[in-house]
Amino acid sequence: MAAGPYNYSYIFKYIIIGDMGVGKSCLLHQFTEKKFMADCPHTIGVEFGTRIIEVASQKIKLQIWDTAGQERFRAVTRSYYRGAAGALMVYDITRRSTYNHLSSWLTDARNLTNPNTVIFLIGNKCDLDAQRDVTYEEAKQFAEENGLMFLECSAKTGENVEDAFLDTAKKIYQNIQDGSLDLNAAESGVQHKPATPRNPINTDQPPNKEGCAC
Amino acid sequence: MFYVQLMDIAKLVQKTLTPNEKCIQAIECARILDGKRTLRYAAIVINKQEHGVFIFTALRVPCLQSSDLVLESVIPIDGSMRCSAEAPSQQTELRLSLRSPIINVLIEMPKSDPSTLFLAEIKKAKDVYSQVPAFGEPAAIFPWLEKYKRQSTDFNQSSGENPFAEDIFDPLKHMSLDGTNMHVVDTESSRQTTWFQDDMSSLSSSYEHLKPAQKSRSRDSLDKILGGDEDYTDSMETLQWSLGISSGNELPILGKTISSREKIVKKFLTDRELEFTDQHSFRIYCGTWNVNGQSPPDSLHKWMVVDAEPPDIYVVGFQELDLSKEAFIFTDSPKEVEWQKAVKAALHPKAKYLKVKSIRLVGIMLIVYIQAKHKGFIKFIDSDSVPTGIMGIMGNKGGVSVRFTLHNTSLCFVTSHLAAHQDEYERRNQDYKDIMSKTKFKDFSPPLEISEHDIVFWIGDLNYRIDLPIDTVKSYIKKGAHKKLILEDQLYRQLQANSEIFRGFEEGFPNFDPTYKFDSGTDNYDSSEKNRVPAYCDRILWRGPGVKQLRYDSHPQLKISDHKPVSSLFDVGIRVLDDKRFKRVYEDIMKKLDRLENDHLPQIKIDNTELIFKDVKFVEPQVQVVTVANVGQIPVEFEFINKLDDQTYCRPWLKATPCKSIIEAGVCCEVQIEVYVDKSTAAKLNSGEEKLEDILVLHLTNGKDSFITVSGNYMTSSFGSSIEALIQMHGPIREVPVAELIEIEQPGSLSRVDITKDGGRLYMVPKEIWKMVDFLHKYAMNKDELFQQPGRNSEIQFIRDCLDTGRPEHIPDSLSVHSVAEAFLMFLESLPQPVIPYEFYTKCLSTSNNLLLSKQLVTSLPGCHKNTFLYICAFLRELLKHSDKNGLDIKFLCSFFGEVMLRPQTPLFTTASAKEAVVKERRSKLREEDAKKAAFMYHFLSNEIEL
Repeated sequence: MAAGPYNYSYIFKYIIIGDMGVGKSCLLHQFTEKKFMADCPHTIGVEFGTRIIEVASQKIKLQIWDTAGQERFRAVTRSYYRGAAGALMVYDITRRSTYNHLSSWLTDARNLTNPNTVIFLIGNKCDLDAQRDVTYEEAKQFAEENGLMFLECSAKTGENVEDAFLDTAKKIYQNIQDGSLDLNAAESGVQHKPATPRNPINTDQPPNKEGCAC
Repeated sequence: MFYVQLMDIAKLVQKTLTPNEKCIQAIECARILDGKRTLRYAAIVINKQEHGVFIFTALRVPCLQSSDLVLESVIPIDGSMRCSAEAPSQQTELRLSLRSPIINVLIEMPKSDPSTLFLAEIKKAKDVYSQVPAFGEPAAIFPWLEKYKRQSTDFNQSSGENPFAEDIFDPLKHMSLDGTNMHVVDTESSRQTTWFQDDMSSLSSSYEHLKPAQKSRSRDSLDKILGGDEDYTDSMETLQWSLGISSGNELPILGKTISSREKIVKKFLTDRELEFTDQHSFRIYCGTWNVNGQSPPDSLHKWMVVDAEPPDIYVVGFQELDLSKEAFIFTDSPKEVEWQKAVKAALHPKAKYLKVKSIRLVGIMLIVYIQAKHKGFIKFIDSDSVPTGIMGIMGNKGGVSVRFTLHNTSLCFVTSHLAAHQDEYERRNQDYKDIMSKTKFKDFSPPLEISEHDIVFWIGDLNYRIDLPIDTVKSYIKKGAHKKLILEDQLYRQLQANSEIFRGFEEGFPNFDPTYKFDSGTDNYDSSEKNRVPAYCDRILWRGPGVKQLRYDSHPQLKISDHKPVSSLFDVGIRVLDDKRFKRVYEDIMKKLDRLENDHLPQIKIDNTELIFKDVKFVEPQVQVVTVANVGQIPVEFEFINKLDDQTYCRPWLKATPCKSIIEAGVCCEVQIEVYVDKSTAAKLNSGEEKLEDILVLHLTNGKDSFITVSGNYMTSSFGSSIEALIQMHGPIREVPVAELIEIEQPGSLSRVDITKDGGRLYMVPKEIWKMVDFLHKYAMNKDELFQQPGRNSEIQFIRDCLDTGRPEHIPDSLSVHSVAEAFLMFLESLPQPVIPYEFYTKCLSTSNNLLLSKQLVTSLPGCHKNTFLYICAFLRELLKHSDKNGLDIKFLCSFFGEVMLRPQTPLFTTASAKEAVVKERRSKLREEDAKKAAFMYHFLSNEIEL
């Protein structure tokens, strides 16, 4: 039976990574709740959010894991990269240090996810243009050099937040369509039917045998 | 036919059976195969609680002995067996269809008491079957029938072959024996015409998303209840997920009927329908005619074309379409074809129509057409029929229905033929109730009923009469006083009284003469002897909002029947979806549900995620409590989980209790976090190789993970320090700078010691060992149960501090010797390298039976280890000299200290998970090793060894 429209055909797993304080949780909150969360506490752990979106008339459920950015948790949060179909890598345009650390985050993302994982670079806090410390152009160039998708967003105003999440999903979906993302491969980060998320660390989830019905 | 005594046949059948089996009834019947009837005997056989129907052919008639009977078919009366019967009133025969997955048998038997009994027995057998506990596990049952199945003549040819396979229409296909009464119930005895090219039954449904869940057709389908239905599992998961309930919990099986997210969305959409739909006006034509079994006249235009504009929908109902006996057994009716063609030909010429559906129950037929331009907006077409005739089962009376959804409005059309005769209006009322309650559109789950539709049209020969004398009626008719007539109409009165009959239905004023009963072919009312009172038998009613009746007429020009046809034209408000607004509302609902789902994710608060343990000491546990509060709306299940590549959720010196639990909403759970460094973990902490640092990952099932950071400082201790390092320390370990400690704990640090340097002197044995041995030597020589009685924790901790800080310089004599003895053993066990270093372990075992080789081995040990070993052995020999007082014997000390001083690097664990044989093997190996260790020790405890 084809999945009804209220149901969803796919589950995409996302992770959000980046330095502490760049606004990862706020981006998630803005995306799932359409609200800006002022005074957001530091994430000590991995927050979890979900939303159903539509790409090419397909209902897709996004399971988003928002990781703690603190350096001391780095070893643990690495556990969560596995099996992600999309990785949103966030820096703060007003703090150059967060931008400088991107290569280290990117290394982790590349090493710990599968080659088809879509990595999306987000320059957050673009509403604070006056305090800008990283230019759009250099980040754009960094993204191009590393084959990343890129947008500047604001979790506060909501600008481009929707697009960042949706463009990632579109790209993943496109990868499924053109066959470059093999759903049968382990850890594709895409599930073809609803299922409860499992323990994300012990990712011995069986590879999806369902295949794609498209 | 030659009717044999039934008892005799039963007796003959019995003779063909084994003693365990009993023929409870046998009956003569005719089997219908390829349209031909041939004589058979049908028998019901019981074995314990299992029944089967046996069909025999006869070698000769009458049968005189059991060998005259040849078994033809065997049908187990099990869950998959379907039995249906029909008893056309005009016939003397009763038809019975018995269907199993592999065989279908159609038999005919006389309408007689034995036949009724036979049917009753089958029903009973079915009931018995459904009560047998093994129900649902067909594999294991009816083994006794196998031998007969092989015997039966049609076993080979008919397995998997449906004798009705060629029949496009199998009249009995959907009939099943009702579980509650012995009625033969027709669930779908209608036929769906397939020969019209413009048939719409294959309409593809656009708006797929509005489609109700198409599930199993029967509510009590075992598959569904037992969870065989994949789709259900799916939607269940969706729901559990959306509610944050982990799957696999003790959800009742009935929970499967909980609505899924789709259903929730559907409900929200229904609630907000007005926001995204507009009312558009549609013309619906309804026509009903009791045609008294006649063929159609040349043209039906006068009846069916009542307006210059073509209606959007045609709903045409017939009664008494076919009065022939053949019609009762539901085979093809030539009349149906004729009338279908006539209706099609009479559709409004100004528009192109497609047939939505037609359905027939004996003489009752309903045909629905829609203008082709609406094709894309009609969906979920379904139909059903309910017979209410003789015994409440025959299809000569009853109702048929067609339903569909047009745009966003659900429409249901019913045509019925209710019970006849002036005084039988109660019967008519009952028929109405039956049709209302028994009509089920089974494409829906749960099946949809008539009353659940937005708009219902009910047309047909309802047979309600006028309670006035015939002369009065006829005089009113002459005067055209239709109002006076309708006031005495049985249906009108009930509608006015707001009785339960046709409650909620409306009817326009029939400003025409009663449509019954005429002499066929004329406009004259019944002139026969029966002299029936004219009546408004043929009616058109509706229910629901937005319906406006434009016309309500009869058409006396059509004279072929004893009834006149009736028609009505309606203006009906249909809710049409506005895509834009729908999308907006839909997105809004989805958003709300997403939020709901996120709100229903498990939520907890942890009061402290940074635990610092200060000055953790060897074998001295420290505990801190973390409070996990469930601040969400659902119970949460938490568990500390392993980090990537880890085998356990935390370091070995750390423990969380409980490490897994469920917290109810609004409740707190206290988790004890304990740090405890013992002999197995001390060495690495001492050497600085490891620190008291860990991150616990508290995982919520279906939810987020929280990190609890644990850190602390460890007070270095001589316990867990290496002999090598200890002999280099002049003062107590606490006075040694950390950097130096790390330095001297490096393997091979001894070789770098500059002995000539001031203070570079090395101890022979660690002073801590010396202090403890000295104590024992002084106070324990004559003490009973040494090394057997446990010490006191507080004293052991005191000894630790004493040795580590040098305060007091010596172990006070107030302490129990047993505490010191245990501390001494603990000290030896905590050594990162045992007294006999790991690399010598295997060699020791192999030389254990040889004194000389053992001596050589000890000589080859690193100096400090050799010294320590010999020192301890000397002490033990000293103890043995006092064995008469302390009760120690050499055997005990050999095996005891063999264990302590000779340790393998990787212990042979006897894990519970290992297989028994493996465990056994390991145990015996352990015993063997222990014996060798003791033997090795024996050399050194029995003699004073000169090296």
